Amino acid sequence: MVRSGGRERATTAVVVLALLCPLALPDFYLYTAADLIIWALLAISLDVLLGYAGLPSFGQAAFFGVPAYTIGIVVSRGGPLTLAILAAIAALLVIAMAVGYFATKTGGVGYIVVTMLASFSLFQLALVWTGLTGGENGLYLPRASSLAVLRVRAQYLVVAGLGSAVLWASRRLARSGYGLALAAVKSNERRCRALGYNVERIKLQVTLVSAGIAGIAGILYALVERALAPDLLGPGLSTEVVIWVLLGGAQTLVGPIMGAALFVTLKQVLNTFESYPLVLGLLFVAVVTWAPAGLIALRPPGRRRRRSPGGPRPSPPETGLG
Amino acid sequence: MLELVGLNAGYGAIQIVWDVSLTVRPGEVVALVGRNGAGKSTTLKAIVGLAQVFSGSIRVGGRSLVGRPTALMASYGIGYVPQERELCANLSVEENLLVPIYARRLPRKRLGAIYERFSRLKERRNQKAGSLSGGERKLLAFARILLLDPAVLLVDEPVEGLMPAVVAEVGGLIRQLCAGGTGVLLVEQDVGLIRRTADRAYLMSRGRIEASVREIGQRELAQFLGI
Amino acid sequence: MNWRSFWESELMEYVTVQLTYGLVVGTTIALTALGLTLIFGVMHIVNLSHGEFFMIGAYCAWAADQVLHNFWGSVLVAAVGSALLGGLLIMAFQRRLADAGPLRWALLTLGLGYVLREVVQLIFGTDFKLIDAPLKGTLPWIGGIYRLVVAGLSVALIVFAMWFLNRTRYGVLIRAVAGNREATAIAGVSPLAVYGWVSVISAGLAGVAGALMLPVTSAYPSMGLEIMVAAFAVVVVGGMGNIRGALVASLVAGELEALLTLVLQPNLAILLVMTLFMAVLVVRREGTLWLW
Repeated sequence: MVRSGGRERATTAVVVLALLCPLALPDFYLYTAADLIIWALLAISLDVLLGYAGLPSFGQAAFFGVPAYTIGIVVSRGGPLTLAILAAIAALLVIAMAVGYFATKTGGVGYIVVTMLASFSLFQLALVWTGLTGGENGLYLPRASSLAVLRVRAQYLVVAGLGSAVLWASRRLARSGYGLALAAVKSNERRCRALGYNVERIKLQVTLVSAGIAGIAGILYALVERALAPDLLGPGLSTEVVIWVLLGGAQTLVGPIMGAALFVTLKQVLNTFESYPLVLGLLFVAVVTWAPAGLIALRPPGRRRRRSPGGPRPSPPETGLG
Repeated sequence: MLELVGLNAGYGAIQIVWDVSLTVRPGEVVALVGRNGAGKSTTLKAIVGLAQVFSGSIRVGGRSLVGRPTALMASYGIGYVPQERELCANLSVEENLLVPIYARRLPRKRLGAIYERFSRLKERRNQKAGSLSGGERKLLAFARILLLDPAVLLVDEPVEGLMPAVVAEVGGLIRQLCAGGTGVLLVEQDVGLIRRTADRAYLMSRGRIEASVREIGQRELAQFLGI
Repeated sequence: MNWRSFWESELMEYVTVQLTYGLVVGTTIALTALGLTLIFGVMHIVNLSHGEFFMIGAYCAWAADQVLHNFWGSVLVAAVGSALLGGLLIMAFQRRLADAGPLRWALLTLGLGYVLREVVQLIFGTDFKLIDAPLKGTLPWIGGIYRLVVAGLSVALIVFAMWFLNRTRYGVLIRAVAGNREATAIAGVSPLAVYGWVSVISAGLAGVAGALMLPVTSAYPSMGLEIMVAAFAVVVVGGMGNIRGALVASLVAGELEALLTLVLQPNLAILLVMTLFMAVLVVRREGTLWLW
């Protein structure tokens, strides 16, 4: 998919700006910036899945919360950080394989239902299994086994570095032949199957990639924020990620990043404003209804093209998407 | 009387029908003839509001149909038998017939009259419409539109893939209808059926009406259709 | 009677009481799933806000009960309230999103559900809204009389809904639109009108279910989400758009959950049932025909 250079420059600008932040800002803002990058990674993970592959994961928080919790569980029991990270990767792999397998096997609506179910079930599990997860109180990582041992600037650089690496990789993926295959699966699954693509395998693969990105975000979250609560797994966060991606403009990578950044910032600014989530929800409904540029990519292409015999073509009437 | 003037129609940004004008008077069968992809079916769909009308007028008895919802066509006296997906396959034969009766609040005794006319449907009244044979499906599709007593009937390739006996039955049905004063616009590629039923024809190709012919010669037709 | 058989009868009573509770849970899921299937079958909408009408039904009944002090009257208010709200909401967007694909609808209803949940939280807060069961007393081997009545009412409602769909004039038209929208429109039925009924009926059924569950589980903001997850699971397992399949799956889910609660914590019981259902999903894939 060839795009204009404007988006290219915009992406580069975002990355450079993000990396330049530490030079100019005091520590408090660095924390916030690191936080934003983490949420942006979560948004990217869903954009890869929903935007590029057209797979509606409404349980993305599961891929974020599971590795975060795994780190918390290992570390709070005195395990070394390396072991914690390895365990987190293993846990993520297991959960992503299971959810991905079930979700792609059921397909269509099943994908929504299975991902939603996963996020919801893990949320419940985190609430109930107090011995392991601390239940409603959650977990708190000791300072010694987190990124907090580093100076704020260094912490930030780790997050920003990983973040831009993931962004770069996602862009490469989206523009590669594999990205084209994803677009093909998204626009016409049946034809892809007829052309000999293993559609289910592609779907499972992209689910794993997306889960991997969300998992990186989750691990960073645990190491930087250090406080874990069941909400990190739950349907609430899962829904919010969808909102960020759609508001920002799916299938652009930059859009979801902006969406996440904007809304996480607003949340912090407006945290005294009780009806903030309501405003966010209303805005989302409005965007879906009145379809901004980001939404056009989501229109399932079902219209059949036919060759028309010469002559002037009248301007077509509104097609219901406007 | 159905009157199309300068109709341009299609789907979304794609225009398929270009500047089509035609009339169907009461009691006549008019064939709309052309090869696949000529825009015949889209013309019918544009009339009943299932394709978009970009410009031009569609009138029935002086009333404009442009922009009217499909569900009102029955009340305007327009009947339409599409080429495929003409029934509710999940409903029984009887339920398919009840749909127009319920929708237009017609007396239920019309069902009896339809069963008298189509005894085969009566035998299969409790069978799912999806399990009928091709010919029976087509008869049921006609039967449910006949219940509406249309002044103008639009029929899209009714006999494609049907056995000769059924083709004859459908042809007889169409003649019978126009004898009762209904105007029929028949989209067809079957030369035999056109010659047996149609009074005149419009020849359509690449989205435009090429000619209007009174006498329908077999050779010309076959040549036009490229058979 | 020796102590051993006494114990056994005690245990057996536990089990039968849970069976009644399972019936309550199962029929509640079934009522919610019925609306979900109906909207999906007729309008091709995956309604992710559907569970919120269950929640709104419960809150409506609670609020009405504060005023009316009459539970059954409040249930009626809740039914009408949620039905109207559901019908209005879906139909308001139906105009705008008439040509939208199922994914856009799923996103829209996801947002609507989110908004509805937030609105209810703003109005009622996040605490549990309790209410006394309108029918007191328990029966041996069965449990609370109210639970029995709820199960009975729900079964009656489901039977009525099935009769309505299969035997009445409106039922035939609804199924006709579900089967072939265009052929039905040609026969003079306005699909929009049918969509209106369907969204009203669908939200109304969920609302009644929520109101009836108010004295059992009390009302809280995430109750809609919980029931919706269960309802979606049974609808998908039963085969999208297949009403009978969804009903059977609902009852199985309710009973399984109730029986597992005997040995597990309730939330874990739900988890186990959901996991089981996922396994079923993969085993019988023909249940899920829908493609985007």
